[in-house]
Amino acid sequence: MTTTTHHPGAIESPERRHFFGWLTGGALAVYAASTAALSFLFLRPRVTYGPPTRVPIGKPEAFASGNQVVFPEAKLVVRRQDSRFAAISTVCTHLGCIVNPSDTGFDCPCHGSTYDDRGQVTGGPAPRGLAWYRIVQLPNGELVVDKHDVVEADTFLELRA
Amino acid sequence: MKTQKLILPVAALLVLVILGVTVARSTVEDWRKYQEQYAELSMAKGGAAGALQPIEVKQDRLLGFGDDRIDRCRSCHVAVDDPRFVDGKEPLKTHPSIAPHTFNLLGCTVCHEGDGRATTADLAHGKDKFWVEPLLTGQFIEASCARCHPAPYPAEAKHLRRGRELFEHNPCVGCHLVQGLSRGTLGIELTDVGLKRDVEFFRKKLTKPLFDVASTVMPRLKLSEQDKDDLATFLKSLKGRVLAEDPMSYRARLKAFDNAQPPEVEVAVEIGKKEVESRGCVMCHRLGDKDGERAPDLSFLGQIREPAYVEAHLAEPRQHAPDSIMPAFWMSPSERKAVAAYLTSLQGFVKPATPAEQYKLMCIRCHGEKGDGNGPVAESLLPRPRVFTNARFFNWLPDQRAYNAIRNGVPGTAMPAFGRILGDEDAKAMFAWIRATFAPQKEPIPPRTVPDRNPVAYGPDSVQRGRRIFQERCYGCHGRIGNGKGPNAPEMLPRPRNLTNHNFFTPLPDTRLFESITYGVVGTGMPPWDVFPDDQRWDLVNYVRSLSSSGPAASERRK
Amino acid sequence: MSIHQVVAPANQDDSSLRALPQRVYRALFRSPAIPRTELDRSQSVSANFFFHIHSAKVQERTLKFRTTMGLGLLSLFTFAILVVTGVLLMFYYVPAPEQAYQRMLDLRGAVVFGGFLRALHRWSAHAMVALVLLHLCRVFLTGAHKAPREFNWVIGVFLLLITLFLSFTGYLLPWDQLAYWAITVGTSIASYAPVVGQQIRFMLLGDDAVGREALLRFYVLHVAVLPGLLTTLVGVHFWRIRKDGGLARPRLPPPEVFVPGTKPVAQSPDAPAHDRFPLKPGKTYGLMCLVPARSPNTETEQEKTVQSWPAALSRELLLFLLLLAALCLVAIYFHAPLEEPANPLHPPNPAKAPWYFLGLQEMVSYSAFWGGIGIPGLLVLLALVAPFLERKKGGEGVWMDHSRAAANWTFLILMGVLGFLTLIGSVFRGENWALMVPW
Repeated sequence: MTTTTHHPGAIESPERRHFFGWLTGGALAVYAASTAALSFLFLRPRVTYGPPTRVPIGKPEAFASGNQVVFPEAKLVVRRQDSRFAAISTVCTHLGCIVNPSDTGFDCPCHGSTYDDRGQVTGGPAPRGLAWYRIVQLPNGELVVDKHDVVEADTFLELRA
Repeated sequence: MKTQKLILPVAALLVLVILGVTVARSTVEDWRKYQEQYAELSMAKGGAAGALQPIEVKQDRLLGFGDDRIDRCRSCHVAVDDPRFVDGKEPLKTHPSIAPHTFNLLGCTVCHEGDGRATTADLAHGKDKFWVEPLLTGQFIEASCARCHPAPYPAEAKHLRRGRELFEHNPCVGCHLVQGLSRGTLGIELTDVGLKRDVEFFRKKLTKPLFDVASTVMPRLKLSEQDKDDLATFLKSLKGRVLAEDPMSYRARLKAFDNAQPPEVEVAVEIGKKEVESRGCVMCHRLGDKDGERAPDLSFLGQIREPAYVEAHLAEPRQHAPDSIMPAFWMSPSERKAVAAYLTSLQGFVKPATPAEQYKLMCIRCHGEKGDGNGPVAESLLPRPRVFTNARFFNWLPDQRAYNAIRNGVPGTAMPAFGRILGDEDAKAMFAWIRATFAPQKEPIPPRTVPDRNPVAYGPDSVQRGRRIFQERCYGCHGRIGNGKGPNAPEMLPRPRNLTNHNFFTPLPDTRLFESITYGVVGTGMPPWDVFPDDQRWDLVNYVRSLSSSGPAASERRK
Repeated sequence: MSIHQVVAPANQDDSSLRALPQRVYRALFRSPAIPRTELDRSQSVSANFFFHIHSAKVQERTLKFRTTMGLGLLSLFTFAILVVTGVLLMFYYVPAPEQAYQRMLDLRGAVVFGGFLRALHRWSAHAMVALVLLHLCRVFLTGAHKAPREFNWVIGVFLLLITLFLSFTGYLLPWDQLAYWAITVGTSIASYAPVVGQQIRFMLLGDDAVGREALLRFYVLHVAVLPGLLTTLVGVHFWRIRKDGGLARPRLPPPEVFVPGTKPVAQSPDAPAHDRFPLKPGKTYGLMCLVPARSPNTETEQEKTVQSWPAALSRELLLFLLLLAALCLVAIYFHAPLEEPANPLHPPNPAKAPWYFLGLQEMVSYSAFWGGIGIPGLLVLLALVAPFLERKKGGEGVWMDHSRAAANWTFLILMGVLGFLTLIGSVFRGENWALMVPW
């Protein structure tokens, strides 16, 4: 071994040097990763400013049986047949354009997807049918459509009396 | 390198030239020119005030006044409130008096629309095809009065007032929804249509509703040019909640409107007459000497319809004919009774002697002069009037069916019962005349064998089987929900039958349905489906029963 | 005092007032304003902060138009124009939905040169995407991506992606119908990516749908994050070019080594570096006789270098001026489009993405995943590994060299297909994305 000059406070043993090197590197790596993760969390929105996902649509009495009411801002239609209510999305499942109600169902003006009355795809590039949303009735009688709760087609809210 | 030595200075000079062009184009602006002209003319007319104004972009800022606006129109239209320029040439011309309005407070676009932020004529006047508020001119400016002056509009806004009157006292209110004004559901909502469409669109639509869409239920109405202009003015004024109302009063007004009940009236013929006159029924129907040529003749309604029918029809036309485009007017039961009383009091029709004359007075309106189903009213009816010149159809049609149709009408369609006017013999004579004139029977009909009853009991299994076949083979014409609006329907005349038509199918026996499926309906697009075995055809019959809630399925009918 | 005296090397100890201008000049600039000697010319380039990315001498072939067609430089200059015009526009633009469109109207109507600068910015943006794509084609077809330049090619691919993303984020800012729906379609395509697709879309938009958050985020990406990233990578890109020895050029026969007193022997290129000793006029290491004749050099092609100053720099200036002239002319005569204000409830029919994504949108109309993520992803992957797939040496620096025929033709066919799909998407698709003929 070559002679080593002694410096006060100098780390002499290579193992200790490696250890502290790894420690520093590890700590910095963890710091870097954490910073990245925290930045990611910062950027990920926790509240959004767009239209609400739980859409109040009014009292059941406001809907006539056999009719379809369009809610343009909420991008859905609400139907009533006697005591059954349904809410269907009007956002085309292809690329998000708004579909127009038609005689036979719905038509999308962007790429020509067509849907039947129940929102099932009858033509065009849409990969799946229009989403049906769950409707719930609040204690005060109002109906609310929950756009985050997608249900199977033909799922209705049945109101008793 | 020699060329390179030359090309570099050339390029540098080129860039300099282009810079010059850019500067020139950007600084030679029309508004400077006009302001300079104004200064000159102002001096000439005597009065140095105009010449002292700096040459700059002049802005009128409307803030805290509804939506914020910045109008730069007065950069060119400098002379609008300078009384000396009454004979001036645009844009240096005095504006007609609009007292007590002032330009400082209102700017220009609040009334004229157009693009207030632009500083060139084309863009400011909204000539850009992407600008949604093109300039309003002439009488159409009155549409903007409604922004601040709610109904009833100021007396000066004559065309706006007339437009609203036309709208309110004609069937427009029956089809279209305008919050706080009308309750129609058949047509498009017009509450804020003034924000979405321009005057030109309204005029075109009122002239020819099909000009921009493939299909619509809006009939082509008989309107004069002035009518269309006034209606366009009114429609342009519909912008939802305008400055005139604060959100609370607006909501209160709409709520009051929604909760209102139609007035009850005395059930009397004169009252009914007044109702009919104030609602503009003649926009479509014929009554007296007025004729809209879009709906059946009501002049002798008492001889072909019962009062109860008329009452029910006014309440909801589609309960009688599911594809009717007649709006359901907002009327109280007594109002309907009054109207029904009036209309059924009209019984002045005198039957002429010969079938030819009878046809002319009773049938031409729908079935057409040439019997081709193209009467003036035909395009408003669904199912369309029968085409008598359809030789193949009438070749097989048994005469008795035709007599029944003439005497008893065809429920579920617009064909009324003429039985009270035409007796048995008359009906036979009429049909004979129709056959002779339009549809002579040419070929012998091969015999048909139709069982005398449906062997398959009506029940959920049969209906389910029928549904499966239907959704595979029949939906193309009859539609997924059987309403006759399948993808092929628009190309077929007569249109595929609406199988949900309860009134049409109720009087028909199962065997008649079976016959139509098995042998098709010759002369229409319905082919014979004898490729299916018998029992499948009966399943289809049962499915049609369930679609139309008729026959054995009548108990399932939901109102 | 003439200009030459002012800039002549001064005696730095001369503290008289007369010497002050010279001293100030010498403090700022380390080389004469108008260099006359080769040394001074080299100094102008290598002692200058802005110029020293250039080598003091460049290959003559670099300056020829047909070598590179200047596409890389043109891309860079377009970017510079974009940065300058972009910063100027930033003084008037507000990234909020209620104000963005109004600000665009003001730019058009009330700001001097507003319409011109906006048009210049927009057309330069389209030009940059086109030029970067052409540059990519040129590099590939001349085999300039092969070893040792593979990593530079990879950086280039990332630069292309950043350029496309820059253009995409900028597209939204006018907040008109064109902008709003193009971005709705584009981000919906992104959501088809497996696993992370929805998350990416949510992060990009800051919401479930395009709205005020999306506008703000796209603005930040467009003016800060992406330009910074691009500038950094462009720096690395140029650095790499220098370190890789300048532009890729064709391999030449191995040099002869001349040892005085022996016959010249051709040397294999695989010999260890310190044995490979090509003769160069300026790098003679042995003692030679001085004879009135030319030195025995065998690599005349390789030795054709010229000083960067003035040859290369003036060439670059020329390119820049021509580019600026062309873009300004286009900006003067073609206005940047501004359609109706964005209406989230009413998509236009059809809603089309910007032209460089139309090929994608055409594919997407058949299958959202394969058209939007699958095939483009594969293509990008292919692009990234392309230089590593071509392991055989040869063909660098030569247009469409025969030895690389397979690679070149594959590339051209792929580009042709993409171009064809773009053409269909832009010209032959109408309402509801149905095929139509535009005449």
